Amino acid sequence: MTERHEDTKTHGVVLGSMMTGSASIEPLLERLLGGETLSASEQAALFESRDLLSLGMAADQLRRRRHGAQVTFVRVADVALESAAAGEVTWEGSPGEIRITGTPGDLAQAIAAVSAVVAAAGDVPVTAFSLGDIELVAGDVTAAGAWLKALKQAGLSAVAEAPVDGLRSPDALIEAAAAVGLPIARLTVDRAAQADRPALVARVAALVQAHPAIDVFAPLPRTTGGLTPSTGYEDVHMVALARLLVPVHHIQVDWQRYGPKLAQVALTFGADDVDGVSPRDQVTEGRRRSPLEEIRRNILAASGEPAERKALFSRRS
Amino acid sequence: MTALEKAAAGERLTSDEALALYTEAPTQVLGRLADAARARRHPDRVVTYIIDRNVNYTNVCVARCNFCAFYRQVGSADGYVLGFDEIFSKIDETIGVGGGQILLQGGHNPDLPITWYEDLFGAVKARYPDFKLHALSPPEVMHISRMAQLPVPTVIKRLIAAGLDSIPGGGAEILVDRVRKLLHCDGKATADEWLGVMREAHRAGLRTTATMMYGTVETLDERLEHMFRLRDLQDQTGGFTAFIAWSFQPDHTELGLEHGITLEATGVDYLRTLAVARLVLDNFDNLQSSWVTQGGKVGQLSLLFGANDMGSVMIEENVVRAAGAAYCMDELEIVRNIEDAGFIARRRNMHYDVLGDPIFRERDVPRMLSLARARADGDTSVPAELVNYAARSRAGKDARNQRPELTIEE
Repeated sequence: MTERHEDTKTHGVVLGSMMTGSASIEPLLERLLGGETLSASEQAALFESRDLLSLGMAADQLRRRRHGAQVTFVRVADVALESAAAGEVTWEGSPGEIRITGTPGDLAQAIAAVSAVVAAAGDVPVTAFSLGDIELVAGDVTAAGAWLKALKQAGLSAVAEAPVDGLRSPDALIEAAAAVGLPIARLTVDRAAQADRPALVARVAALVQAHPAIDVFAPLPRTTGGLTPSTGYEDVHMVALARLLVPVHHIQVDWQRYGPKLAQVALTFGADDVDGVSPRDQVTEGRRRSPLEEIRRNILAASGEPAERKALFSRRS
Repeated sequence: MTALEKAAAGERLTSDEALALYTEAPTQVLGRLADAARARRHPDRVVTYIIDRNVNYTNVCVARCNFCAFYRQVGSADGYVLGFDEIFSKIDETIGVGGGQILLQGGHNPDLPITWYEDLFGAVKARYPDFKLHALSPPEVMHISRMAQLPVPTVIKRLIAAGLDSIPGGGAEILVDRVRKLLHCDGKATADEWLGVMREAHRAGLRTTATMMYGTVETLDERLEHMFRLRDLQDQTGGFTAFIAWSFQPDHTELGLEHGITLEATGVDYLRTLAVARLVLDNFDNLQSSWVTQGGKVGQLSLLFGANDMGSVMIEENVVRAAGAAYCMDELEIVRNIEDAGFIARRRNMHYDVLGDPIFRERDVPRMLSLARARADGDTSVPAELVNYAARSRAGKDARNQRPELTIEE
């Protein structure tokens, strides 16, 4: 099969004459691609635009400038906090990251869980918890800072996530983590109604600019489901706008939470990293969904070059 | 003029040009081209859908296609034939949620003669005069033709007289005999036979759809050959209302379990294939989204890659569900997806005539968040009326003789 040339820019002359959506966003996209920053009203115009293909083409260009064809992915083993704190630490397969899930009741439980998993993990990095949960349970930023220091000392590689819409004092918390040398693996969004998305993306952009060490943003809401789940259009729209408007290195999608098909399509709309790939080599349906084979195949089919990584983007050989 | 320029200008593509776009054009460029082609044909931004029900009247099948997880062999304990009353009940439920049609398809059951179909269609039309029967894919018509030892035009004529309204495009798979041999489906209908049934149906005044199941053993050239054969027939007859592509669902299939084709074609592959189909099939008005196999999210995104129809509200589907696809959307969810993508949602019939606004905005209809099934597990009862039709297989004769009150008159 002939190799696909995914750089959409070269096709712009032909396609420019057949705009079917809101042609008014083209100048805005040109300015973004030229490195300019858009005003709040101009950004709002992009959010209101229905021209998803134009947004996607621009987002894809930006992604390729940063990453070329490379698409990274990480196989993650989830370990429940309660089990880990009780010393019951098991996982299947070959993860590149072990992630402790759940909200700790207190610092002692958190340290017990981290210590147990780190002891079992060997050279696999261990991440844990939401920065929002730590802030909530610790009570304030100062206490949260003490937690973060203790967790670092227990061997934690990174805080698993920082939900932008779940932090009372985001700047102070991020600084507290940085002060003890504990990275934050990704900025996330807990819930994001359509109407809230422009403001939320602006907040993320501001945080990333203020804290350059944060280089991953997972823009799709972590809380999903219900009778009215998000649509594919909403998801891909959010991914494209995150790439266009947030000056962060990695835009991440979650393989398990959003499913292989949507996650793969998101890779053509600005995402460059896939989180949450199952660490198991075999699942219930035999080779039907061998995760490693499936993720590589999906990345290749999206014209990407798959590169497996560990937590915090160290390359996995 | 390059292939890209020709596609952008809406000019007819050659197979080489289509292949160049399929293999080389960036995904979103293909999307833009297909979206423009859709917009030329449907400038009103209307996206249609139909409320109907996919009723599989039997799962007993002698074809034994290796990509199918639905069929059961003759004599299997899991084999079933729906009774007329069960089908009436499903029609009642379909009418209850605003539907006006069933898509009736099933296995190649040797124990169902043409009179069974005629009597069923006649009974449906007697009971529901305005209800539409979109029924019997070309391989089923071929099967009935062989069983009855009647030519296809005669079979079609008799089925129309009994009440057949239109023919679904199932069983096309890939219309290339090399592929059909590998899929063990050349016996049920070769590519020429499938197209021949459709040609005769169009001549008889029926409208039909056309499908493509891809993602098994075919090459991209063969997918395109399939599309070009459909385009050629459409040039001759104009009888196809729509094209529907879906990807092979590997779970529980012989092809998946024993031949190692275990991974489904990807979402990006689907969107690219759909977009190319919109560009190649320049004489087809309508392209359906296969959200049943791709999921609601990619199904919705297909509206940006050439689709202008969201297919059917799902009340019941058994065939791809048996092979792993388990997505379900009711009318409210389909309309939400259409409107969220910036289109106008309209109900349609099989002929793609717009029937009106979403029915749930006119009256209360029950939400359907799970799929109905063809028949409850463990129900091995045999419909009473089957005794009126001579079985050909030993198992069929035995099953009918298990009803002591019934005797089969040979």
